[in-house]
Amino acid sequence: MSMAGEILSEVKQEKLFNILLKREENQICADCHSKAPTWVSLDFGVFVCMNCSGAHRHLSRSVTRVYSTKIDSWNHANYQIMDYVGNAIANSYWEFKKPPRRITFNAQPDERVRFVTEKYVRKLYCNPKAINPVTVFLKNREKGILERPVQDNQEQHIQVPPTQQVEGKKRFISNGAASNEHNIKVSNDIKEHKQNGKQDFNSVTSPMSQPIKTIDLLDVDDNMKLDNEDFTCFTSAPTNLQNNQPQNTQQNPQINVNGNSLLDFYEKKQSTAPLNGTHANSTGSNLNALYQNGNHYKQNSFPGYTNQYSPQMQQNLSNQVNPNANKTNYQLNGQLTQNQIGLSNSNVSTNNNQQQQAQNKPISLMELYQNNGSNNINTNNNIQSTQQFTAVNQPFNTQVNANKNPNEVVVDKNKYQALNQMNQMGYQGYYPYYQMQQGYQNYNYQNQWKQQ
Amino acid sequence: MGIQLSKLFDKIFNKVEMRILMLGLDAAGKTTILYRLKLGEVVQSVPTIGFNVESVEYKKIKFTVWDVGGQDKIRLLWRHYFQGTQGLIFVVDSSDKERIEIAKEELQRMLSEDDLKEAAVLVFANKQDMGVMNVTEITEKLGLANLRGREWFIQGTCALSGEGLFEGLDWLSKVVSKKK
Repeated sequence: MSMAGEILSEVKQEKLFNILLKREENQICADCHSKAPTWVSLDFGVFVCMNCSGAHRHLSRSVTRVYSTKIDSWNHANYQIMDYVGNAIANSYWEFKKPPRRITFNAQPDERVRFVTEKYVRKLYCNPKAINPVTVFLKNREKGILERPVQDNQEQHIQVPPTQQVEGKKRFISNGAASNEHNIKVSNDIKEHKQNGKQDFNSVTSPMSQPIKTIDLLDVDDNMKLDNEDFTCFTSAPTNLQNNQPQNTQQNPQINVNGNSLLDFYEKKQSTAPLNGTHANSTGSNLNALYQNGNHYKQNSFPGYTNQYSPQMQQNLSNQVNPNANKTNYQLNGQLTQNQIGLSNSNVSTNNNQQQQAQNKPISLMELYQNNGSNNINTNNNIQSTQQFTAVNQPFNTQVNANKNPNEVVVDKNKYQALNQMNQMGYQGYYPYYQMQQGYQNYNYQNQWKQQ
Repeated sequence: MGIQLSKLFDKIFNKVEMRILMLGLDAAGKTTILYRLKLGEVVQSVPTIGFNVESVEYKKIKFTVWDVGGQDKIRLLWRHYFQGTQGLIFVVDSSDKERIEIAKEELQRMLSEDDLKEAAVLVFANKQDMGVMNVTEITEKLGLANLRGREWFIQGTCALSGEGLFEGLDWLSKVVSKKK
């Protein structure tokens, strides 16, 4: 087989083919599945045993060239074909359909010839929509592309890990209120919550002791550059939580506990440095497509992060953020309709909850806080379409937080769309934070906490 | 005892032996030709690693045919079979235009060997049923016309149907009988 191209030396050839033949896919004959094939049917890209190579030679050299990995000499170009194709990819094309009569290691020569003819010449089992992967590879190589000619059908079997695709380090604040139904229904429980929340905020004295720290966690997120998260939003809690445990935050000692634990959490999080490492490399598939496939959040991008939340903590968090949050719905640049995701917008605020409820224009707790003490209230709930949204990257510092422009909210349109799609799929708009991070399919997290 | 008897019979009936070496590139059809001559049928062969040897009787001549594998790296072993060879059958795959040049090189290299000086050269242009290169074309491409001081013959064959094989043996038998 002396052809044009660099002929491999005997030692090099042996070394290189040892690599290929050690691959699991190449450890059995592509046709009869007998062990340790050392022959190659080059134009089909398969490693076959000696007996099957006889059948391949029967097809004539114009159909396929049969070489031994041991007693033929190879050039680099041909070796590359076998490197990039091999039994797995080749058979994903040639044996796309399962052959009804497969030959075995002890098959007679004429059986082998029959099978090989059916498989490679009559193409009875191949993928009719694809072409020979060797041809694909050679065409690609002419263009200067060296890649494994993975077939479409094979991609179906490969489980692509759902990666989170996010551009830029932006923060997304949402109260997660979703559908109109939620907005229309205002239960008494929630009214109570709002009242409680109002009382709570009126009683705030020191920034560091405020329960608002939970909300400020958003800033922690930004500070820690957890920028690739899909949803750094705090969303409203599940309704069962709010209904079962209406909480007067002022009277509840857990508020302080919560605040402390958040501080603890913040410190812990600082120590878990490589959060970004797993994160920043996330590439790939369209976020929206992932949601539609139901694969979302299969892979937790930074487990150390979300595990810091206990359900109890989350619940506190949610209960505080929730009451108004679930009821907010804004229009934003025409991007969001009433059916779409509500935004927690700090621009919209009031100091009069009763009035808001009467107008059926609920607001978020955060808004309440940010406008606390200020009676000059913008009561326009239908957000101005000209509103500017810019990034807010504030450290975990309530004082800074207090000084920041309440009009600044980060909007990532992709995230809106994603959330919107989820809502339309019936998720009803609430996404507890830990769930967002941990993923719907990963319930171990919750079990872990139960065990503890 | 049996061997001696058969040798005696051979002398009586003037039976001639001929040692034939059959070479050629891999997948040219050497093994298929060998068993087609021996058994009269097509066998599904596997690549020959090492050699096959069979004796074929034809026209009172006993041809002992050595069929040696033709893979790239075992071509180096061909020279070990040269000694005592009376006839060389060189099998060419007529459908393989790509490697006809290589076949030529291999043939020319062998013909320059001392051990094969006396050997008659029979070229089988095999796989004529594929209809790619005919005998004339192969003759040109192998440079047979330039062979000096050597008896050579080219025969188009098809091992699957058996065409041309015994015509080739006919020529070989003539050569043997001439030398006697």
